[in-house]
Amino acid sequence: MRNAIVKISRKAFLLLTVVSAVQLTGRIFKNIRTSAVNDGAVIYESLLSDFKATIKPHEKIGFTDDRKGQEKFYWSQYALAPTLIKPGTGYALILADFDDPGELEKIKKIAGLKTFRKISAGRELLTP
Amino acid sequence: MTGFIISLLLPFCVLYLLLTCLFRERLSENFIFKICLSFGTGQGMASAVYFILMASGLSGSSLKTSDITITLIFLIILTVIYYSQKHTASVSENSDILPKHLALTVLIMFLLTASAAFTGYLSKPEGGWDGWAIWNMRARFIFRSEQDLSVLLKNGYEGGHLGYPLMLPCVISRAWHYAGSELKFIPALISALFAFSCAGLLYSAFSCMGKKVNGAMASVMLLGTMFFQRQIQAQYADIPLSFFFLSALICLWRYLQKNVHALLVPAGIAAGLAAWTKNEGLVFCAGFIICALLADKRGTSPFAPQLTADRASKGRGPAKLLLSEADTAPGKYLSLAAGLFIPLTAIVIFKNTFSPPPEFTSGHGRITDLGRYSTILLESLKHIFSYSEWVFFLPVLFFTSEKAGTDAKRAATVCIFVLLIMSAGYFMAYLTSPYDLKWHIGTSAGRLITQLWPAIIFICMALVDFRNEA
Repeated sequence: MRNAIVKISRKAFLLLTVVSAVQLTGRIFKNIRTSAVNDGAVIYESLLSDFKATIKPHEKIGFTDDRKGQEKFYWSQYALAPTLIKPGTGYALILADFDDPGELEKIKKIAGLKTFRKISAGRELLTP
Repeated sequence: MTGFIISLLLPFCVLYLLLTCLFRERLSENFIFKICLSFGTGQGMASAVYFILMASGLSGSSLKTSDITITLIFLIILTVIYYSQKHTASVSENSDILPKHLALTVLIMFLLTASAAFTGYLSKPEGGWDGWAIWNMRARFIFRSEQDLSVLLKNGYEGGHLGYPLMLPCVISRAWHYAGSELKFIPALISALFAFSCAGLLYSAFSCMGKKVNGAMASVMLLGTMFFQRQIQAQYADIPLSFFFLSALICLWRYLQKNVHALLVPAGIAAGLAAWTKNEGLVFCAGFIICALLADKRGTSPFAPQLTADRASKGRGPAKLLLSEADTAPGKYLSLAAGLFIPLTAIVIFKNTFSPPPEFTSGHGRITDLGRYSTILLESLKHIFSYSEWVFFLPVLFFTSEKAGTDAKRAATVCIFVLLIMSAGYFMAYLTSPYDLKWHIGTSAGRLITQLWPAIIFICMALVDFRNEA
C-alpha cells in the first residue's frame, strides 16, 4: 500500500515540477512580449526628466489632473522625488496632467492659472 | 559598478566571518548555508547600520566613510577572533548523495526562474505597483535628498505608508550611494538575490541535516511557485521578509537539534531584521523571541519541559531549578540579544523619531463583528488553496515518506508555534482593517502567504525523510 502511495507521490512531484516549468516558460515569453515602453513608471520617468531641473529638489509643487485614477499622481511623484507633490492648486508651481488638452485649457481659465512650461499635450507646469 | 559590488561584498564578508567564527566545524555542507545566510543578513545589517548613521545626522561622503569604517572595524575584529580560535576540520557524517536527475531538475528550475526574473526586469524595470510606489520611491527620496531623512519622513509624500520600516529602501539607496548613481537594475537584482538565497538556504539547511533529496525537492517547490516568481519581478519587500523568516526558523531549528547557543546569534539577527523589513516582521520577532526563550531542547515537550520534569521527579524548589539552568540560560539569552541588538536599535530609532501612529488603531469596534471572522476564514482558505499547486503536494508528503524523529518533531512544534503567532497577527490585522475586507484580503493574502511559504516548505520537508526513496 505504502509503495503504491510512494509511486503516486513521485509522479505527483514530477507532474507538478513539469507544470511549474511550463508556467515559468510561459512567464518568460509573456515578459519578452511585454515592452517596458508601456510601463507608466518608465513613461513618466522620460516624460518629466527634462523638466526635473526646473524644480528645486526640496520644493513642494501642486498637482491637478482629470481624476481618472491615482496612477498619474504616483508616477509623477516617483519621477520627481525628492520634490514633494501635493494634490491641489495652492502652490507656486502646479503640475497639470490631462489626457484632453481642451480640459486643461478650461481648468486654466477657471482657476486663473498660466503656463509656466509646456511638457507635452495636456501636460504643463502651471503658475498662478 | 565597482562601488555597488563593494556595497554587496563588505557586509557579506562580515557576516560570513561571523558565521565562520560561530560554527567552528569546517563542514562542506555549511559552506552554501553560510553564503546564502550571509548575503541576506549582511544586506539587512548594513541597512540597519546605514539608517542609524543617517538618523545621527550623517550624510553624503561622511556617511559613506563612516559606514565603510564601521564595516572594516567589524571585519578586523572578526578576523582576529577567527585566527585566535581553534577550528576543527570535520569530516561530514552525511553520506547522502544527491541523485543526478534531481540535481538537474534544481538547475533547470533555477535557470528558468532566473530567466523569468531577468525578462521580468526588462519588461517592468521599476517593478510592481508597491515595488516602486512604496519601496523604490522611498529609496529615491533617501538617495536624491542626499540621505536627508527629514525630507522623506518628516514632510512625507501622499500615500507613502511612512510607518513601514526602511530595510529595503536603505539597502537600495546604500547601493546607489556606493555606486555613485541611481543604477536601475539594483532593486531588481537585490530582489532576485534574496529569492535565490531563500532557495539556497532551503537546499543547504537540509544538506546540513544530511537530507539533500529533501533540500532539492524543497528548492524545486519554492522556485516552481509562480506567486513567488511574480513577487521577485514586482520587487516587493515580502521576498526579503520571507528570507528572514526562513533564516530565523532554520537557525532556531538547528539550535534545538544541535544545542549550540551560537546558532541563536544569526537567528536573532534574522528575526530582528524581519521586524526591520515590514511591520508584520514585528509580530514575527515577538513570537520568535517568546518561542525561542521558552523552547527547550532536552525534554519530550517542546516548551521548557526540564523545569517541570525536574520539579516533579526530584522535588527541588524553584531556586535550585533556576540555578541548575544557570550554566546554559545566560548563554542562550546573550546570544539572542546579541543578534537582535543592531536591528532593534534601528527599529526603536525609526519608530520613536520618524514613524507616524499605526494605520489600524481605530478598529476596536470591528472585533465584535462576528461576520468579519467568517469572511476572513473563508477568504483566507480560498487564497491558500489557490496560491499554488504545490499547496496540495504538502499533505501527500506525510503519507509517503519515512517520518522524522522526536527531535525534529519538537523543533517543528516550536517553529509551528511561531507561524501560528504570525497567523494570529495577520488575522487581527484583517479584523481591525479600516478597508473593505474582501478587497483588503484579495490584495494582500497572496503576499502574506508568500512571506510564510519558504518557512512552511521547510517545516513540512523537515518532518519527512526521502533519503531511501530517491
